[in-house]
Amino acid sequence: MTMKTVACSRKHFVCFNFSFLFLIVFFIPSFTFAQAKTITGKITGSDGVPIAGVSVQEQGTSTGTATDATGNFSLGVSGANALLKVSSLGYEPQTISLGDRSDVPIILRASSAKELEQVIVVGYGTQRKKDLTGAVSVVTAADIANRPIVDAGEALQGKAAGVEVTSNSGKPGAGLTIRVRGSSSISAGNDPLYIIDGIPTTDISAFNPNDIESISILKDAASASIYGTRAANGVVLITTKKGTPGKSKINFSTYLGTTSATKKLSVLNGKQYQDYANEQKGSVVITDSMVQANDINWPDQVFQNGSQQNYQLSIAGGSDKTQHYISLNYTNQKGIIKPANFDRLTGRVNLTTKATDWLTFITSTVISRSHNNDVTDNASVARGGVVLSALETPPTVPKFNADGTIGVNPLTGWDNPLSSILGSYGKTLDDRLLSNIGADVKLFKGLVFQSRFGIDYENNQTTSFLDPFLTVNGRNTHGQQSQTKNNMLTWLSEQTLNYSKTLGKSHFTILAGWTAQDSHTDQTTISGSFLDTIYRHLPWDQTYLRDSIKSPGTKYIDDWALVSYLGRITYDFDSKYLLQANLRSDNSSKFAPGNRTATFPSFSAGWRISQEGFMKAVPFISDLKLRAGWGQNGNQEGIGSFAYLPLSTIDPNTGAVTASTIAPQSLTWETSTQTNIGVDASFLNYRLTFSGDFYIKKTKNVLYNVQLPSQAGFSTAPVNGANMQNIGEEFLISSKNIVKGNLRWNTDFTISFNQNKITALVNGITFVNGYGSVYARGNAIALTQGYGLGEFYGYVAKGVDPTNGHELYLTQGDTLSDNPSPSSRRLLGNAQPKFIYGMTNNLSYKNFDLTIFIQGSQGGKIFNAGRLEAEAMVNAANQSSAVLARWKQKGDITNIPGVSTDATTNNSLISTRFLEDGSYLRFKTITLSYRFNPKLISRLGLGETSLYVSGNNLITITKYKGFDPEVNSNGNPIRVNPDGTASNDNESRNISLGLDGGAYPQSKMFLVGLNISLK
Amino acid sequence: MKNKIFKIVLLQAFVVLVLSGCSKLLDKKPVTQTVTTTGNASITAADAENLILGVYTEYKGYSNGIEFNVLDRVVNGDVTADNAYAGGDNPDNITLDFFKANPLNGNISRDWGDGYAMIANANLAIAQVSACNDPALSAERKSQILGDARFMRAFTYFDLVRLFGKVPIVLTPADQTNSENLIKSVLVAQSSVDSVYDAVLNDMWFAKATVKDIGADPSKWTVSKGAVNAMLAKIYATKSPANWDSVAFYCDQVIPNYSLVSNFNYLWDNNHKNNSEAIWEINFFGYGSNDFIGNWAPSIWVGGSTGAYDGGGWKKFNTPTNDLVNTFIAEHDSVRLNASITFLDITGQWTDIYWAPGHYPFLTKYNDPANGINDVYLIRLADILLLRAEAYNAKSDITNAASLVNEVRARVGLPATTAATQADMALAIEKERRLELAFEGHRWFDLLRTGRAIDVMNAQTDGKGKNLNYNVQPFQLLWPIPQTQLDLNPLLKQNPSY
Repeated sequence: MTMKTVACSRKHFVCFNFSFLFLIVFFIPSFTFAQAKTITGKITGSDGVPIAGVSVQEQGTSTGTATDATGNFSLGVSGANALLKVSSLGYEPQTISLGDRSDVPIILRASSAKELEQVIVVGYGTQRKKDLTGAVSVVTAADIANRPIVDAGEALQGKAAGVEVTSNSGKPGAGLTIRVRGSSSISAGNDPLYIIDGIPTTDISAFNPNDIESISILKDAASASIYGTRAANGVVLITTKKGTPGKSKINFSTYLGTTSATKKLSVLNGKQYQDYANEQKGSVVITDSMVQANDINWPDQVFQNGSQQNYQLSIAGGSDKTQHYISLNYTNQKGIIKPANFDRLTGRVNLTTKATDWLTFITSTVISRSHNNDVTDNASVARGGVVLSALETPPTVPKFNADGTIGVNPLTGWDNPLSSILGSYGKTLDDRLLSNIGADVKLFKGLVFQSRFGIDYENNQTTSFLDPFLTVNGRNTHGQQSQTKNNMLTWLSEQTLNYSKTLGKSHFTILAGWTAQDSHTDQTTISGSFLDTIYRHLPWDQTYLRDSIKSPGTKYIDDWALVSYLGRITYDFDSKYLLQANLRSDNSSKFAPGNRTATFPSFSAGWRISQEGFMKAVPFISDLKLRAGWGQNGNQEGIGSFAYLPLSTIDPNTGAVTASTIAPQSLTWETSTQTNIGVDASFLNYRLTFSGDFYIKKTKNVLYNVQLPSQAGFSTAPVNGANMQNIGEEFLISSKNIVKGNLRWNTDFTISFNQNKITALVNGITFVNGYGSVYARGNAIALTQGYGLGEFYGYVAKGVDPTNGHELYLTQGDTLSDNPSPSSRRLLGNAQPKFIYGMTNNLSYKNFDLTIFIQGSQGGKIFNAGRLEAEAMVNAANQSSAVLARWKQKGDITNIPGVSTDATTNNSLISTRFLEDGSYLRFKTITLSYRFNPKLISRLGLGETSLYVSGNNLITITKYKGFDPEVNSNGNPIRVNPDGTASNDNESRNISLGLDGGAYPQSKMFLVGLNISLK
Repeated sequence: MKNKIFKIVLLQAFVVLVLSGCSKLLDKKPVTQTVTTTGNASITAADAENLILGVYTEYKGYSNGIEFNVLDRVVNGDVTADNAYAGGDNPDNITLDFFKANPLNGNISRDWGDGYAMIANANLAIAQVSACNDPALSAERKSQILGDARFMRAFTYFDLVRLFGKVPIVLTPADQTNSENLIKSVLVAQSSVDSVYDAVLNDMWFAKATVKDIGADPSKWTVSKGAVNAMLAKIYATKSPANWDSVAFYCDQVIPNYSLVSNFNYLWDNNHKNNSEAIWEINFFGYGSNDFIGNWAPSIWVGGSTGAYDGGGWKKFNTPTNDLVNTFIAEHDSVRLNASITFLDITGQWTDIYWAPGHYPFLTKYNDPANGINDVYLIRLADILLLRAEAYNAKSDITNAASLVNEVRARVGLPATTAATQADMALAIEKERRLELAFEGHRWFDLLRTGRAIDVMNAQTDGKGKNLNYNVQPFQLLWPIPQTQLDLNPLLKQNPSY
């Protein structure tokens, strides 16, 4: 599995060191006399055991072969001066000169130090791992292989120390919340910046993870500051696969999986519901005959089996002059609740061509189209949330009424969950083209000019439709539909000069560059209503034409640009003393003229102690490096393009003008200052490697949209006033437990601790209980100075009063009350975990590979707002089976209060009763794969071929009572509305953490996969 | 060596490109939004017209106005009082009905928020129009615009002071120079109730001098001198102690200019908008109308899945009380009963502790849940006639009081009142107002004004004689200040006993 990594590293090495390449590829052959001959050889390990499947290739040609099971090979080469390139999984690659020999025995050394030589993609360049002075995590193709990953961000979960990845829900296309070393902002973005093959973006959903060669996560300021005002939340560099010279490799891979909910929740059956409803209403509202007529288990109706499938075809190869990587991919996810699904078709072409010995053209292009069908979740049953509707629709409600409309709970007026599934739809269609074209020009010795020009073109269409007949809401409004078309073009120009020079044992590199990026968004929305029901089955465009009321179209335009200068100097002495300095200066259109320029410096140093003479006396330490870095990064993501101006909106209906936003005195970027100290060590001849980092990240000028008293006339006002702090430690341990003949066992373990704290809010304001809204109960989360984001706030529940069945709460004076005053509320704990971890075990024996990947999160709390509704007992909604244990008569000792016959909510306030431990340990992936014997399948014309079975999310160990502890109801991505407001906002995404408001549950998956390469 | 030359040119091109920068690239301007005029810059006459249009839109529109001026007006005026039960399923409405609301109640925070949002919008328009020196805006029109905006601002303060008591007075736009100043400028402490009334009266007096004459605009939604005088009458009747001379004076300015429509049903049939009785009336022309604002509130108030009103078979809000229905019946007031309330058979749809499903009442003064075309009378003549009667009665002029009460009763075919003493007449007027103005958001404020709220509410029964045990305490005559506002503005003080 690590071969891909090695190969990848070498490719980059090649790309960025043209002088070597040219020397070898062009000049040497020109001095040789071509005289073809055939050579044979046997390749063994240092123990003398033959090694099968070793790639043997004549350097600079496409001629190559592989050793057979006995380690023997035979290859026709151009002549005596030919160089043989020999490489294999787990061994150090070698280049061998032939001389006069025709029989060439080769002994391969186990590639113990390969990690150190690994070439890591960093900002605007690459570095060998041993030369790194910053904190960079790397995830490679091997970590992604054979996993059903749809969004590239999933690949980071549990694999990259210091990176917290939470899947917001199990809904296809629901997105991820990714935090690198905690959160640094309140109202601006906290998502990392993604750089895909050099193009910065904040959205990677269009992207096919199967094309990824490596992902580097730049975590500390020193490594990320080359990205300036966009780097404070970390930078995720994604590099896609490239072709290598040689015979084209044609690979086909696929998997098919079936999904189901990780957990079922039990609700009252017909009889139990009848008892409950009649008790709650104080009269017989549900009769025996109603129970006999319908006794439907709604969760069973709603949660079904879903599926996931993926097909990937790739062709990689090329000549010395031109290399290509071409891929086509189709991914399809059908959710466990209809009609939610996601499918995506992507095509990619990556080309590199050497036009002359000093000029190379490079291009990478991806085009994708994805469809997403949504279903409403994270909403109360009263607001049509399908998950809570499944739990709260009484078993006595029919699926359909006699007239064909969807059945309604008559006691509440809420439709059954089919209303979300059949009665309305929301669809998005996303087209995206991401293309980067450029040239590397070798100007003079050691000086390379790199020119890149990229575009990111997006076309989104969001379409919604509410049937005018099927649902109560639909009949009330006579149907509603709208469509938003969003068109975005971002272009990027990056011009850099790279100079490298070696003087004796000293090695310098200098990078200087200029970049410009410009983005234009154009959004149009049309909407209509009052559709005659006879037309309701027609396609969207036709029903729109027939709507008797059409609102005027609305329009939203957005523009921004960023012009930057960047520079870097690195110096190393004998790979022993390492120094690096970065500087980036950004000019952003998002700030007022005069306040647009921001400059971010960083410095880092490394000391490879193991290179010192005195360390030779410590044989069990193979490598030891200390790293230290300091630097500053900025953040402007999530800040509106014109947030520095006071804006008014124009009513498209009447032309009326209303003030909508207020600008701060001087809107500015957030600045994070981060200090990082790290150590990298390898022991026992590289069998055991360890990497640890400690960081302190302090962010000032944090943007906070201060909630205002109503008399302001604006709900919020942005101020760069807050301060935030993240302190953490992260560790990575890799161990080759067994390396013995056919048996190999590797373990990788990462664990990360982060403590997030708001050190200051805005002048005079230290507490705002304005976040984490729970339907009809108020806000569950308070932004509080001295605490982290996602701090819960509410009452402390103290059990049920046996005399009257009322829930009791602690009052301010620590007495008990069933009607506590709001001042009794207190801070209850935080949603952020104390630590997160992941462990991967790879076990391979002969042709079998077993991978077990577990991942977990410890110490975070979840407010289970779904359970609050399902145990509230305030109305005639169905309830969770937990309410069977409710208080019924005086003297009952129970922790579930009695029904609230008067519909008041004092028994189900926001309290510790619904605040749960969100810790979990999950068997994320268990994969068993079989590599077919190359000899056998080569007769079929096949190369490397493997078959695997895999289980994902099979076991989750948690105390959480909801569907799944991996949940973040407010984490959904932001879409900009036509009026410039957003459908979800950064505050909500940043502050309202750990809330489960009836999220679409996570699913577990069984899958079967196949990887084939043509010989 | 052509290569070398080319390379040098390339390097020079790079240097030139970098040094030239791209400063124009950074010069972005908002396109689909406008930059708000602040400071001394004058707006244009067209801007001024758009701003006042914005204020009117805000007062009826979806963001704040329809909640505050339509939806919650009926809850606050009728559900809180003895005209309607909360109905529906919303705990916020139910706790208000039961006098169990606390500072976290969603309706209470919503109304504070909506009210001040409308006031803030009016403040901004007033400041910007005041600063307008575009000659295209005539002095008369300018003062008219300012009068309209100040009238609406005062109207909202009048609502807020009656609900919350002491509230902050904010009459200028928040300091918009930047958000830091804005935050400081909006932290305003509460003022005394008298000061709030002073501010309200100040605006009303200004408006009285500048707004359009009655009849100058066929739309009764446009603020007229009639609306201002009517509001002044209501304010003087409400502000403690009531100033009955002023009530009488302003009522007399209004009454001659308006007349009751001949048929009570015309008020509600949606075919007599802007009628002779309407003084200030929100016009709703439906979802597809010019301003695309439809009155959606009736869709959650009226109708079962069967019967005369569609709107879905679920439990509606604001169910009329037994006490109100019994009062109509005892009065033999079938015209107003039938216009105000419609009984439907909702058997099998939902149940209710107050009413049997076979004969279940809905408030149907607003009777179109589908098209959003129900107008809302914020002030109409009957209100002012009965207020004038109160003013007569306060001066012991029972005869004149009776004559006005009888004018209102005669229209709906009821005989003259039999009240003969001042005390009886006060109760007769109170009852007449209740039946005439049911579900128009007046009842609770009438009870507050007359000091009868606690007695009346604590005597409420379920219609079968069982007391509803509202147990209203004096402190509950004012709402609590919303907890969120207390959190955001440390200068605010909670009302006593909350």
